Amino acid sequence: MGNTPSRKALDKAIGALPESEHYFGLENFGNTCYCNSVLQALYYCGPFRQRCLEHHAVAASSGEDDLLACLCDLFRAISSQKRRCGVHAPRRFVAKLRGVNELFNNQMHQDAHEFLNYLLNESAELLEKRQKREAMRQKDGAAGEAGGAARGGAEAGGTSEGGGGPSAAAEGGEVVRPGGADGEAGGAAAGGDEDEGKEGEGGAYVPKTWVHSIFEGVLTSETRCMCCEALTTRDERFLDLSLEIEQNSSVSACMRNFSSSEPLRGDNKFFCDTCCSLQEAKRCMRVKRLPNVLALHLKRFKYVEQLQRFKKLSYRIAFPLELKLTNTAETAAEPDRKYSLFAVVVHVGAGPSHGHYICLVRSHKHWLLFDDDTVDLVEEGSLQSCFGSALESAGSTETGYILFYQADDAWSAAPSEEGEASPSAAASPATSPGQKSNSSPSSPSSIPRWQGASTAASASRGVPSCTAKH
Amino acid sequence: MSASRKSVTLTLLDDGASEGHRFGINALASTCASAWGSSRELFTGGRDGSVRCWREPEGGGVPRLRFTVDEHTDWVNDLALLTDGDLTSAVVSASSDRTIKLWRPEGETGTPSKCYTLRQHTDFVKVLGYAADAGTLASAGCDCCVVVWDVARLAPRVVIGGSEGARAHGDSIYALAVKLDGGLIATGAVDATLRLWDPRAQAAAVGSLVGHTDVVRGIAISADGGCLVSCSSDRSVKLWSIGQRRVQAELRPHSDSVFCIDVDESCSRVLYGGRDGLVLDDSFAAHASPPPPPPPPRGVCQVGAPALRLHRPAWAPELLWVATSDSSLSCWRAAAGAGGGAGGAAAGGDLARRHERGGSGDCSEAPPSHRVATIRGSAAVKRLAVLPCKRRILTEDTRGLCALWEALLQPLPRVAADVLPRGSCVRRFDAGEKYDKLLAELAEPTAQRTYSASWFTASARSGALELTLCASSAFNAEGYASELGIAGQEDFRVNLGEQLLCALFASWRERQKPSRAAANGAGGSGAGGGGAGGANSGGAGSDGGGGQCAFRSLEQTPVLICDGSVVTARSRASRLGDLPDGAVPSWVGQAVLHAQFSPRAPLKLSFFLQPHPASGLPLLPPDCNKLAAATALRLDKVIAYVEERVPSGKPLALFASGKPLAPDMSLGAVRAFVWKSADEMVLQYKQA
Repeated sequence: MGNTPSRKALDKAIGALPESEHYFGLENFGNTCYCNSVLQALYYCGPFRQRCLEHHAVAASSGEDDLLACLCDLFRAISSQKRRCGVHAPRRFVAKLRGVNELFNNQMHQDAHEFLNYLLNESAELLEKRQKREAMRQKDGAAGEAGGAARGGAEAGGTSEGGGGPSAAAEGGEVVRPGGADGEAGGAAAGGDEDEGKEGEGGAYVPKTWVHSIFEGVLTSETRCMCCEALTTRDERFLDLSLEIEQNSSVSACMRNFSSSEPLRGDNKFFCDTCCSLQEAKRCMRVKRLPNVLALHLKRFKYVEQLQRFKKLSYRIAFPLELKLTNTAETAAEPDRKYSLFAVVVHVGAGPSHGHYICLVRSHKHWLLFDDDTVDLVEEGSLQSCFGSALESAGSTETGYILFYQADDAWSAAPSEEGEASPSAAASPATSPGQKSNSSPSSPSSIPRWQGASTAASASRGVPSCTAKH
Repeated sequence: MSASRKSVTLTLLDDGASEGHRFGINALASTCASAWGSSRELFTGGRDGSVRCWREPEGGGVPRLRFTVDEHTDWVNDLALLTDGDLTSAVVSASSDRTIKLWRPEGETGTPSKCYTLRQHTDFVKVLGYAADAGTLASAGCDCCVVVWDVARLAPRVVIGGSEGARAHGDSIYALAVKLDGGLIATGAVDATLRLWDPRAQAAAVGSLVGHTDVVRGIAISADGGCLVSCSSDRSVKLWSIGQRRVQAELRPHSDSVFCIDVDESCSRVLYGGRDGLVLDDSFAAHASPPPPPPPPRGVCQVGAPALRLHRPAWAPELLWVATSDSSLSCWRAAAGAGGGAGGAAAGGDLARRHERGGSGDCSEAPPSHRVATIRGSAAVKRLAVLPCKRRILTEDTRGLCALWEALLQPLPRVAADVLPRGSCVRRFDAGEKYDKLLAELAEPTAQRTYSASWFTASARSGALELTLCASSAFNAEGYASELGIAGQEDFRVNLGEQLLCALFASWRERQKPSRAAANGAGGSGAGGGGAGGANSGGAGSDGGGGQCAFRSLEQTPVLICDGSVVTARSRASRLGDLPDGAVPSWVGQAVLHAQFSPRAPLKLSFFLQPHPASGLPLLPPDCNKLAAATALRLDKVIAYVEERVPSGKPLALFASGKPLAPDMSLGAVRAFVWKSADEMVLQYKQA
């Protein structure tokens, strides 16, 4: 890995890859591979990168310096490099990460999934806070500007603003249509059939922020009373799914396991409201709302009581390039969504505290390996070497740890294709009257147009919400 | 100390209750020739834990309640009638309280004097099976074991699957049948398998029948043991050949789980009922013959709730009793002869459509030939909430109606002894008022005036409101005698638990030592006086142990005495005196006879009195500004205390946490609803 021959191959292959793409390794600042690998996976998550770049313009103008702003700054730095390949040092981001979270404020090995979880939740929280601040400012300030966005609901989910102030337009990172004003926060569908932040019976799910609209899904736990057979359901939101694993298995089998029936009996009976008493029941978790990007975490680190520490399970878990979920609830909206694998965070090594993370990423039909500062082109077949080992004594210790799947039907086109406007006018969604001067360098071409896994669907509206399909 | 686990439970009766079950009915059995008489009797086992005997009057008609046996503390899941020769000799009931009880009706009323408990199962006992010819009684349930009983010795003869590794089934057993000659037991479980056992060969497993894909709900074996009928949640009814261990025929007209079956002796005709409330009459014989295609099943009835049990009475096999999860029981005509006749079942076009509602029941019109009789059930309390004052309880019943109950029974003018007393229901709400809304209103913190610690637990397990007092908490609450209608000084405080127990056990106390008028001092009572002036340091009801409370007679209130979860004594309040010595827990005896009891929660609280910053009033003298007083003490007493010592000329008002307090609030209420902190309370006085 990282040898000259493959580097040459990369340079050669670069020609086949779009002009606008950059392939930069990330410097390691002392066991920050857990961070680098996740960052690479997120960078090559098209919709996420796009939102971050849009957010960057907004954040930079208001001089924000939180974790999300640093992340966006990092993405911006990579995407605006003159060269196609190289190495970048994520100083600002790592410093910020260590500053805000004590857990990461050291040189020790960390868990990549823990970092991913933290990053997504923190970003979502920061966005929500931002939305609230905007809402307050909007209320105090001048009345809503022109444009239909008087969807006044100042719901926790966010507000809708008019074409207004500098930050208003890109408030939730949402696209502003050229005609002006429908800036809805939280990535609500511009299709306009949603209520603000209300989740109605018809499944009018509204994600709170663009982080949610990309990663969030809904699980439902269904409990069936054995006596009256009434079904009780309870919903739960998630940004990633953690799957228990067993030897010689596959992601599909692990998902089936995840949704298998748990008996509630013996001392653990269920109080059924129909029967008004404790009865035996069977409970299972099913996916009710499929996320646009599905992050699957394989639980490879298991706490062993006798050893009083965590142990790594190098079980062989095969993961497919294309995935369909079989454990969807009956009420799921689009149970047959097809997902395509676009990134794998791989853990290399024997245990949780001695190991290394690398990241395999697919960019425009080519697979690349990011190992901190090294970037190589690899064959698709090399993914199989990351399945894990079926043998007790692990021969290869490279095991897939976090799998990133993207739904084929989400975000198939860049927002600049949306609506009737010409590319130049509609582009740079982050721009708004106040921003013009700043953002002129960020002309459309520097915000990579993400094509998505299946280019065939590029004609459909790239509005980032599953409900657009309804 | 075992005494502390003993508790007293009383049931607050609802005066509108009918004789029927509360909640649904799980089991049916009938006899017309029994050791105790030859009348036609129907036995029903319900989810309220009771078994009721209904007798059909001479000349027919709706059966009337003869007696109720209330021995179980959880759902009665199944019933069996044991026979001695040709006569029914005993009744056996299996319950979710893990016990099986056996009893024989006696005397005029039929209420058994003795009830034997068979304990072996470690989880819900779901089914019973009885083979009359061999006298084999078998039971099974959620502990995955099958127990064959020796009825004479009241002990298990064979236990199948008793050990951890060798359970009879992999999952709970929900269906069981015994062959008539006792040679074969068939069990069906949640894991969709049926297993066959030979109880005579030391519980050897004889075979298994595989074919269902969901929980097996009911089994019946033909008289000759050649075939077996089973029904399941996979919506099918299957006829199996036992010898060949395979399915011979299958019926599948239901759109929902099939819960119960009733077959004739040869398993050719089967009546089955499902979760959709549809009861159908079909014949395997018709299906066995190849073309022409078999006629559709005949509809018997469509009830408004899942059909749980079907039973054809011993004296009239053309009738069918249908038990559902509604508390009413209906009887229908299901004439013999399957096929043809009244149209398709599922269409329900000419089926009488019934929507049973427990207790309210006005039925829609139906051809009289179909429905024969209905035994109405009672509404059952479904949900309840004890309000923060710990004296009133809000309930919602199965009809959706709400009612407000008073735990401390209000004093009423004396009523005739033979009249069923009015329940302690103080208010009934209309159908439009919803439980959640009422609860929010009544439990609203700003509306509360008094607050006590919990001194009882309330439950609606049996569908009626039950209050349980136990040693550790019964005496934790106090109240003003004047509020309770007890004669005495105005500021006299009484202990609520003690009052209730005295009232309940009044007849018992008279039996004990009528000469002892409980003149002993109030040892260890917690209702000590507080420091605030005007509050009486009344003893805990020690002036005259019984005569002081003018409560109405509680004679008919059912009282249970339990040790842990086992019921040790059961009686009406008026007959508690008949209980054997030692039946009444000692802590109750101490409180009722000698007024000795110790509350486990502090009945006093301490607080500071300070002038409100905006009042300009002076501080109280140093030894008067930190006080300890009874939790039930009303604020007007505190105000009077302050006014005595701080001359301001104007009436004063009290504040806590900056909020004004109503003078009729008690200290406990202020602490719980306004102060809300664990720190010592600070009350501030200011001109009103």
